Amino acid sequence: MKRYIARILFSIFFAILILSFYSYSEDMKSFRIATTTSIYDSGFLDFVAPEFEKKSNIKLSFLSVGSGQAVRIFKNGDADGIIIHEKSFLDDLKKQKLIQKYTPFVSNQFILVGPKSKKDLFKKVKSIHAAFLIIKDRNLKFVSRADNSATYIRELEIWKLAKTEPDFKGYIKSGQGMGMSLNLANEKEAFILTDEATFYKMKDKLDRLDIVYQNPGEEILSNTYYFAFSPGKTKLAFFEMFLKSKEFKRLVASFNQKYFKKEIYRAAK
Amino acid sequence: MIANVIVSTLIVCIPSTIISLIIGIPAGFFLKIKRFRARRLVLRLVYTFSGLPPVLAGLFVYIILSRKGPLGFLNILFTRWAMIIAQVILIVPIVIMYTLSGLKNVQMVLDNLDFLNVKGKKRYIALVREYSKELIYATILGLSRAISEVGAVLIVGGNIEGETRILTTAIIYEITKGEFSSALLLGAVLLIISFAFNTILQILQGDIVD
Repeated sequence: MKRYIARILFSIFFAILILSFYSYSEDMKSFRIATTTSIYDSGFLDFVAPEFEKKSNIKLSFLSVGSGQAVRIFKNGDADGIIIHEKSFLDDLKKQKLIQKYTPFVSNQFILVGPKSKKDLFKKVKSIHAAFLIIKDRNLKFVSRADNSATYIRELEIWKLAKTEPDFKGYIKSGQGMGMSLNLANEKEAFILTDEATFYKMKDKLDRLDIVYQNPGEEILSNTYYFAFSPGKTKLAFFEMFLKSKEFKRLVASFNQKYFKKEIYRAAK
Repeated sequence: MIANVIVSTLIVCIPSTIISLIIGIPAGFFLKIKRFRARRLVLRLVYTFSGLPPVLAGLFVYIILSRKGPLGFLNILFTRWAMIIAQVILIVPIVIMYTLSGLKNVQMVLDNLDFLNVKGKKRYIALVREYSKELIYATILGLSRAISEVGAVLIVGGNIEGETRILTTAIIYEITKGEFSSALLLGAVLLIISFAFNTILQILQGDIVD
């Protein structure tokens, strides 16, 4: 009996050993970056990272989660770097001395999309909050992410700017990611605030939706992605440098060309 | 890319099933034949945990393995290792439950072995032979749960491409992107793998029974 138990324990131990070596050897070398879903889901990071890895021999792996969760993971020390598009989150991290600085590296815009049939309603609209007011006043359908995402935070800011609350009947809280929420808006023929890259990436599936309002000049609609890393992970400074390099700008241009055939992502100056 | 996902799936699901069997079968055997005070309570706990929502198991493992958690020093959150731990927590109760219901007449079998004076190694071999069919059922159930589970592995694995992205989490990911056709394709691959496993195990079972 004793020998039998010993053997079982030994095999368990052995299995654990092999497995842990396996996962260690693979993961110890790479730096983990918690990223917001939108920029990862567009394929942009997976397009850029291999070029950086080739040059620097530093491996990156991305955890694609919502902005709120990304901050949480980073705060707990479970990720070495973070990419998000909500400045206030980063200012908080800076205040808590979890990061030294953050670097804007790429941007696109937020746009309002909605059913093609209602596009004419927004022809004369001059600002995004005026467009929101039309949706509320006419009690049209509007899909809200209603999660802790940067897109949702921006949406709330716009409601605030319009000096009103989104308390109308057509307001739908999806609680899901950008892609799923866009699908929902398409099914329900509702309006939704989204970023340009995700919309264009999914456009052929969103047959009922079209852009109803966009304005590159409007500050509240600018959508900038920032990179930051924890001070202990000095090697990630190379990635930061890479994000400012000429080569990165070239990669942004070729990504736009390959997937959008027009300039959606703009490298930060 | 899909090859990577399949490899990761097998690397996570097969070890987690094997570890669960190594823990669950002896535990089930023990609970079946030994009578002790808290036995009813333990059984109730096993039944409760066999219905444990995967997301809850995932959250639990996440908190434990996070760098701020008690086992943070292991540094294995968002690795396949963390996924295996979460799956073991989910599969062990199922294996125990099935072992409990599968070990019919175990006392009689044990008495017979005593009568025949079968001892030591031979006794275990005889027991495994007697209940091989049940053990394979337990394996099938464990593997099915491992391969179809998504909530826990998504939370503790983080769905990192080439590392912790397995078939189920890849399906979720494609759905969130709205890529339903790729999601369906991955689903078909998942079903084929599951079918292959079941076929192999059933052939094995047939061999033993006949």
